[in-house]
Amino acid sequence: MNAARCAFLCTLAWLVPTAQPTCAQAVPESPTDSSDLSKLSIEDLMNVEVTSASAKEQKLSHVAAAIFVISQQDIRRSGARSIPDLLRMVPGLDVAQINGNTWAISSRGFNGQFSNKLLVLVDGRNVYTPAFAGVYWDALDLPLENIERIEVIRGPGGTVWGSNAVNGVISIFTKKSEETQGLLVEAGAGNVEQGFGTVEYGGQLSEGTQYRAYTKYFNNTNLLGIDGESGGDGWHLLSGGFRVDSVLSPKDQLMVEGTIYDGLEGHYAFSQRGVLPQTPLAIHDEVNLDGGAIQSVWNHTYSDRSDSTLELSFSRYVNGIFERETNNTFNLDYKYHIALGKRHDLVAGLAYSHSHDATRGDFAVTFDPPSQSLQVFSAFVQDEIALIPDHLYLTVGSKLEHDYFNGFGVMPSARMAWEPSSSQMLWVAVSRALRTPSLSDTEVTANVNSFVGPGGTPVLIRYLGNPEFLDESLIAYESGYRASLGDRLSLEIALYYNDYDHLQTAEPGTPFSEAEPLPAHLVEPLRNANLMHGNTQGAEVWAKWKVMDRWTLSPGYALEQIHMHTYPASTDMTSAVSLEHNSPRHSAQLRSHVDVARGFDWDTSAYFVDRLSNQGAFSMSSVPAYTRLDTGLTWRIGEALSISAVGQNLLQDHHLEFLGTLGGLQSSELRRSAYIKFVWTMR
Amino acid sequence: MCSRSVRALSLGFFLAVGPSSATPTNGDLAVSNEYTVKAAFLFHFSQFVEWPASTVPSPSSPLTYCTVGDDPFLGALDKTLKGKSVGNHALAVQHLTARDQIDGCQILFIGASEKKRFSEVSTESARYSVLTVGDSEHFTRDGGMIGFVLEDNKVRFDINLEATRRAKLKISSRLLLLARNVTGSQ
Repeated sequence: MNAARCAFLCTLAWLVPTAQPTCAQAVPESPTDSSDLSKLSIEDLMNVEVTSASAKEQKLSHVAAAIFVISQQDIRRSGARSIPDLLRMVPGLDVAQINGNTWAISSRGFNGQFSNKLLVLVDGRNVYTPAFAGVYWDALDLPLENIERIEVIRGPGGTVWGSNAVNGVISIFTKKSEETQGLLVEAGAGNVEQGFGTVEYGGQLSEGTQYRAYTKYFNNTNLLGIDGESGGDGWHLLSGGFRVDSVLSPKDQLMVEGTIYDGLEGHYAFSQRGVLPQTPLAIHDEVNLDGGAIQSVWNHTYSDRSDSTLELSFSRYVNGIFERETNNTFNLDYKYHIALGKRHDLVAGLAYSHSHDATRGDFAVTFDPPSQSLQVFSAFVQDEIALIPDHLYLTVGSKLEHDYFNGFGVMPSARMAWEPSSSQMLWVAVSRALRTPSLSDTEVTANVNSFVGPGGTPVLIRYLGNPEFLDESLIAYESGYRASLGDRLSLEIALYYNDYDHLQTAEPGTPFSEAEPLPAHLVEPLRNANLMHGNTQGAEVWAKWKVMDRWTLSPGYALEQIHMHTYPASTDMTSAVSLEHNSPRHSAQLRSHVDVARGFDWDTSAYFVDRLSNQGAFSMSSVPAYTRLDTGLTWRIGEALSISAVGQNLLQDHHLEFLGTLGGLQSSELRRSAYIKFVWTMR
Repeated sequence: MCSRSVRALSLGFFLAVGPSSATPTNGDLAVSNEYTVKAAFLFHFSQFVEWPASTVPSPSSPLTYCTVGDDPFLGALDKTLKGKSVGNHALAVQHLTARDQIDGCQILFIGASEKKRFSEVSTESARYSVLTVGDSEHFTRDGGMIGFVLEDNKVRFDINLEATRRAKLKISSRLLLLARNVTGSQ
């Protein structure tokens, strides 16, 4: 263990109250029933100061964007065991599992293992990796019971969130510590997730300061490889974390949280080990994944009309898949909000991030230089103008960002929301977003495949990063409508037309011969370039219908049409075709939640995903359309115990969802599975 | 915790640290969760209201608190009233859906989502002598009986005596003195 990691662990240990016995002495006994305000006289109650979140938080229905919120209830009733599986319920998100521990998740097209146009935040901390431009979903593991909500925005969010929030932003918010006081024990087992468990305890450190700490473990078995053999992709992960929330004063709140994880995962990879074509093509590997993060959020209220937030975070991960990449990231984010006069509501912010990557190259992938620091500075300002208060709002703003490779970039947007009545809203938006280069676009050399060419000479296909790689850019035109029709039906429609430029291509270069390493061989280079443009159009529709008091149905549908064109200078024949087919044209879903009887919940969801064609290493395979059916029954016994039995992927023995790309991973098929789970709470 | 910025797509910035509740033990002035405080107010209200004998026949009859519409208390009301009594009245809580009758309630908290059915619920409340409490905008002006408002981060309330009179409820003068605004007369 190196010094940095040790220091990190020590910081964590110091901050987890339960982990440090010496801390315990400083903790006063919590009062017997401190929350019982009813013991105060009504006159005293008049003097109690309150935090008025509800008074200021707008209902989400006012957001002028295609937003979908996954609530804790949705999470509980989904039967999902991972964050990727939860995201399947969002129309317009493409969620596909590549193997047991790898997912391809994107918004509005461009799906892939590293879908580089989707930003993911956990309590405000960005988990998008600047080295490979994407999200390590396997490392994003937290107890689902601790999630308060997940807000998913399809469409650009660059004005506020900055680069790479091109096609969507997923924000995960965990519950405050006060909501998770007491003990929670979860344990379960199934045929794929063979054993899992979480133990969590929440308590009070002092008046106004609560904490929770948890540890979580799971062990998943192998899925079925596409070759019909074992997928070799079993994995297990042990994680732990804490959160402390403290009211420092009536105007100041501080949150500190941390997570740490360590695990082992397997896969078959098509990574090239030498010059000669290899058999078998895919080789089994087992890699460690470990890392952690610590962050703090400090909120200060100046008055009813202004407040500020300061966020600091440090995160670290080691990922074995890509040449033992070690990343350390530091983030600082400051935002200030003020209401000016009757019509203006202003938000402004400054952010800085420093990310350091160290890689150890091998024959398949090397980075030059092997270690690299990237810094990003940014500032934004956004004003919401009440053109007609309560009815018509215009929000305009822009982000200005400076990144390592391309210098300054600007991401403006304008959004208009019209609320003719309190139950309806219509919105339109125009925005610009940028995807900035990652190390894998600029500084990578990857030998992705080889074959025996004419005359018996080995030919090596080599992908080369391009230090001059430009930002991929988007101008998005969006609109939407949402309405609640009576008490029982709410409906939402989102439409978009996205215009992209400078999209990534891999341009074949002039072959050259190379003597080293032996045997002498020919290299066919593919150079990273920005020679594609195109547009996507689509629609997302979803509804929530309370059929009866005990029965809710949520249907959803998404259409995606993708048209890509290379510039005349390009000789790349595959990128446009594969982009057009990496995401399904149609996808649909139906979720049903029934309160069967007192204490019994029955939840079912069905997902249809259209065929993907031109997939795989040479864009010559396809993934057939499939329908996934999950159902589960939960029995709540009193307030403390609940038992769930859930079946997943019930319609087929196994099905394929995504095919890996050149130099990537061998895909696995998802098996029909079932699990049983006990949750015991003492709260 | 900012209002419009949420609407303006900056969701989450100011919400990352949401409402908090450091609760006072001995009447010291700390910051509390808004709805924990409102639940405590609701607990007290029943001491200052006199129901007609047709709904609360004896000093030991139970009092039922109900909520209808979106329930902002998230369990705080149940927690506050659990195992408590006012005088000899045992207290109970029920969370109603739009279809449920309100005639079994003595105190009804009307969630903001019930705006559309508000007049219907108000009429029913008057008929069954149910004390209506809410915190939506213009609650008392629109016919509600006790409406919570926030002033300088403190909970205040308005009372509409016109409405309580119609429901044959008597409000104690001690409560009237504490109210921010009182409209109508008993």
